[in-house]
Amino acid sequence: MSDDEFRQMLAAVSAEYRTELPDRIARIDALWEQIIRGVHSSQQMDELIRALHKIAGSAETFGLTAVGQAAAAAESRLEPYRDVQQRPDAECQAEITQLLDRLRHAAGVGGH
Amino acid sequence: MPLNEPYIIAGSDVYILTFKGSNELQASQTGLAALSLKLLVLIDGRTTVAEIRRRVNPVPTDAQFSAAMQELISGGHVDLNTNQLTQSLDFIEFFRETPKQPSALALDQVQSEAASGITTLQQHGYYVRIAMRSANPPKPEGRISVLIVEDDETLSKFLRQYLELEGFVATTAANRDQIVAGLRRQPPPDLVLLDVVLPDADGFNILLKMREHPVLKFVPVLMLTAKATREAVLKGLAGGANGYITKPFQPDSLIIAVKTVLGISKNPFDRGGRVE
Repeated sequence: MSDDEFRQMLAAVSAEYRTELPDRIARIDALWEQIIRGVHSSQQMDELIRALHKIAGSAETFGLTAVGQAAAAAESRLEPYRDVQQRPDAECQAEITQLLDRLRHAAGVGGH
Repeated sequence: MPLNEPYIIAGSDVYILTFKGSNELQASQTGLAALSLKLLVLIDGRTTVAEIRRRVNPVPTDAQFSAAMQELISGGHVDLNTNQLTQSLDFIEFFRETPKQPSALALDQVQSEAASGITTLQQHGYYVRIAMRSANPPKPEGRISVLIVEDDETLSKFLRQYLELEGFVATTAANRDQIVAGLRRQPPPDLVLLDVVLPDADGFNILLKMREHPVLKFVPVLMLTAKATREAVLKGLAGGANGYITKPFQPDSLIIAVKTVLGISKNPFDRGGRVE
């Protein structure tokens, strides 16, 4: 494999990743909205954490380090609430809202 | 159907490949008779002898079949599978069952290795247990197969394309059913990249089930994890993982780890190497 082949492949898959990122973030926003309104189930919290986990584990590989870091921080902050099946408290909610803003900004996605 | 001496072969017997048998399959030349080689391809650690005989076309006579089995057994290419569990193994059911978790002793034995493993993971993004490198390195001229278990579609696509560019044959699986399908394929993959967090399965449990399986227990497994905590690394090492790759990963690190665990790179820090 030449460096050129690799660079072309990485560029193509990274472009695809960036294209689909707004949809992933929109889903995260929708789940978070439900959680802060208290109209969620444990499955929605699981789905939110899994969605953040996936971005945390992949964004940097595609050149989006800040996106991955924001997702990883949000995931870590939410996990204790998932484990005890509790709604995040006000302090946590404020932090997550901030982290999701950072994530959107780093991904070049507008606010919801 | 008892066959000829010296080895008594019953139709209900199940045989597994030995390392020698696996090597024979991957070799470019073989000294085995054609029928013996056909049987070697079909022997999978769970299908009975009678069923294997039925699958050969044309179906061999008793004498032909017996002679071929004798050649494989006496040559050390196959062994009787004495694990009763696998003699009637339904692969899907097998992976549905909860695996036996690593004992406290097993966890204790890998404590110090986990500590150094985490340090290496933090420095290089991967950790390979040199002592557990594949005992059965694939032949360089063969097409080395890798099963990628990863539920992030784009990351999985990237891994597949990257490994294919490097000369591997890569397949992907994103959920339990796809994992089972990927693992039951014959021959089994030469390596599994196994994500820990999956939508309907736990990567650690998949690893433990593989290590309980008569054939899959020999397949090297590299865990892909976004959380390289001490607890997670301990669990993986005690469960028989051959190494770890942290996510997000640098592409170079991934290939170095893959080649190192397969024993196809003498220098794990030689970043220019191809599968040669």
